[in-house]
Amino acid sequence: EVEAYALLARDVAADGTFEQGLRAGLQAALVSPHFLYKVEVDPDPASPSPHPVTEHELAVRLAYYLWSGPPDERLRALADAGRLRAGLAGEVDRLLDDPRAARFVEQFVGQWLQLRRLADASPDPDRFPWDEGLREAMRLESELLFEAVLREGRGALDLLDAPFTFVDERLARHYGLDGVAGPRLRRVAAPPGRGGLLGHAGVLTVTSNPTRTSPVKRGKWVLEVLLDDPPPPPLPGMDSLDEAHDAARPLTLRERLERHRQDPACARCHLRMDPLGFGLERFDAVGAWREQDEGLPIDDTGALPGGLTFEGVDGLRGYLRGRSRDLARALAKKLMVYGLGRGPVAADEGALDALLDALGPDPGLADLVVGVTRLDAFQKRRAAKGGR
Amino acid sequence: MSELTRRTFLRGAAGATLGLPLLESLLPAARASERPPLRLLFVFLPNGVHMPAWTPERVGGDFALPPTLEPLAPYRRQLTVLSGLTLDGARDHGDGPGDHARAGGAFLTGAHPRKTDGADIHNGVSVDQVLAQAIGPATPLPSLELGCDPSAQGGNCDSGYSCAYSSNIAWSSPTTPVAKEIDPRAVFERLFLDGEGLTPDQRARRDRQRASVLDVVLEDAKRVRGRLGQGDRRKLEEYMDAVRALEKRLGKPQRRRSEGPPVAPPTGAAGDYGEHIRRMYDIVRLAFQTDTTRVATFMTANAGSNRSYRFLGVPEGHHDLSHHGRDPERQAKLQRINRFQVEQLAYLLGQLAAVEEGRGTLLDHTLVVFGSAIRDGDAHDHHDLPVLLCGRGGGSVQGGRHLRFAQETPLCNLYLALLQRAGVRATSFGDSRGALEGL
Repeated sequence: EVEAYALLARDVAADGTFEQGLRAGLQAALVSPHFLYKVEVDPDPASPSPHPVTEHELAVRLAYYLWSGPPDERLRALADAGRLRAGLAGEVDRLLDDPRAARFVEQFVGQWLQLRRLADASPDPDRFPWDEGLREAMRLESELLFEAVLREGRGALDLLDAPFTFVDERLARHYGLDGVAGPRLRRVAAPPGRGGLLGHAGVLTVTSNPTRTSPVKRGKWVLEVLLDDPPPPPLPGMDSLDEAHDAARPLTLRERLERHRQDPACARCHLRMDPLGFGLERFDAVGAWREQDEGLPIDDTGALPGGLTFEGVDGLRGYLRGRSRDLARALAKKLMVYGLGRGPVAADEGALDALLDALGPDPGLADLVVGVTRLDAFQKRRAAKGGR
Repeated sequence: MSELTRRTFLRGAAGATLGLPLLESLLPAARASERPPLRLLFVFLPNGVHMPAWTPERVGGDFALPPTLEPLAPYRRQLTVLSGLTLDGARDHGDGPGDHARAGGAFLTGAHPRKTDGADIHNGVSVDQVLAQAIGPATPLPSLELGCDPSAQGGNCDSGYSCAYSSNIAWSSPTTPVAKEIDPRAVFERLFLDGEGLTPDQRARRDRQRASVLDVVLEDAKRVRGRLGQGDRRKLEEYMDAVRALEKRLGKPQRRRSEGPPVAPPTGAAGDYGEHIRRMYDIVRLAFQTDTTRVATFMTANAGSNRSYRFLGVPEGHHDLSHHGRDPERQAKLQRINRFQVEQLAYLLGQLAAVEEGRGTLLDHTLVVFGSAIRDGDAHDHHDLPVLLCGRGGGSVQGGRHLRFAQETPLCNLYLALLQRAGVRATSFGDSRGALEGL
């Protein structure tokens, strides 16, 4: 494998200088298919049966899952000796303990919670306080919570319900918290309503529009991100949300959305989505707490199909706590998708259920992360069929 | 010809430029005697347009420029407003929502993109890439793809449509979108400062070295390919195609990049959207002028863009606004956005018109298609699209008129007409029913 590249370096050096030879070798390595892709071979490309990935391929999968980077010496040595699979549990623990696992936290949180969209968020500065410091702190807050829950062996549900969060001076001010100075984020007791992801300003901002909140986007986020139960796309012709105001009496956002939900074609999905978003209405479009929406009182009650009602973010949290199995399963699936770099397929469902059953009713976040590496999907592969 | 290099022009503080008139002696020898070649640029606007302020009332040569098109007044004689063109591939045909991604995918292909957010994307070949394959070999770069928004090539961007559809308008094969560059500084450096300060000998050696590098990785890829399953094999073949394309480019005669009046290297437009767009237009102008390429595409924003135009007094997201529900206030704001984009287009036309070339200007030898694949963002319709044709294409387009075509005339008829003007022997493109006449 290496020989062709070494020969290249030598030939180029002969035609030019030693440095140029080195550069050429490096260039080739950096554009080689082995560097740009994770190459996994199927010894019998025509056969559709699953087969275990090789030790080295497993090392690569593991390293990219937990470190977003290639295997280190020790992983490679274990793979060379054919002892990685046997010692997998130990290696997973080692990788998670390593500082490089911070990349996993950053990448996964950014993708799972859709916080990457924070980079493009542009709240209207005439209405909301907004600056780069706030944007950055928002992103870090959620990453730090995830990391704390992971490293402290806490239950995955603590992501929903933690009694603490992380703020710097800027974010503290945003949350109305006194006594926090300086740009470093540090752990504080969560202010009322803020414990857990639903109270994180970053989440609340990426689920809003530049000038106002969007209960629909927030409801969709809860369904997609937390429950892995995304609403189907709107029916043809259903794109627009008529925002006509009644000039005589200004309508609250909630009232405008109510009108729309009276149409049975739209109601089918909106009755599931909107109430979840209403529960978060006391957080404005940049996640700050508010008592009024442009002078109008806020109604943050939610009523779900089936009769269940709740009030405010605490009520929403309570409802979700009752669906803890769905939350854990959704998170496990997202971790799997992240770890494998592919979307879920039908065969995954049974494996995920088995994993959740084995872990019991209150799985640790770390257990879920590790559990992914034990799945057949992580340790085996099969030749994909050619496309249409 | 004199050995003037870019360094001669840019001597002095970093980024400082000297404005020098374009000297005939700097033009490639070929151009001084032949007719300048035809250049084509395709510009994409997302979310449709507020049509009442766009479509002129009268047809023919004697029409008044509506408010949105007013900034084009100085170039009126190089402007052809086209009404009535239709993009049937963008219609849903039972596929349901996801109109923005679908329309983005169809814009230059005329195809009906397959609705998927997975790996099995399927579109058509875009008109710019057909041109690139035909006239591209004459230039160092077969085509140039530019934009302002980052691309995503995977994932669900619009109700079940892949981000590949909303991030790209150029498609070199039905399954291969051509990624766009969004950093003006990076493109500038890559196109115009590459090989900076190297003697011809040094450059030749560097190209030999690059060719050797590509040989090695290509061989490696071939070895790997045999051991992959079919699905993966296709991915690797895309890689190999890209490597081969690079090899071909290396083989081309070295084009001197120091020609033409210098342009200040873009400062990497962070935050100022207008500046970002204008720097990209500068690059197009420079690329055309130096004959680095003759085909380019530019996405002013990705399909379905929800960009805020706060600097215009329009803080709401563009996409959200485009669902105006017939609210006059929202429509007025949309019109402001449209006009802003037309102002940037006017800037480009000014740039092209300022370059003397042959017996006219660069604008005389260029054709710019500027429009959207959606007509009205609220109705999400795809007939009577907002499309402008700017430039006179070397005399192949009359200009200075508003032409209205019969209902359901395919937009691809326009593309076919352009292909033919570029010398491509084609009798159809996309869903065309013949080349557009009367241009």
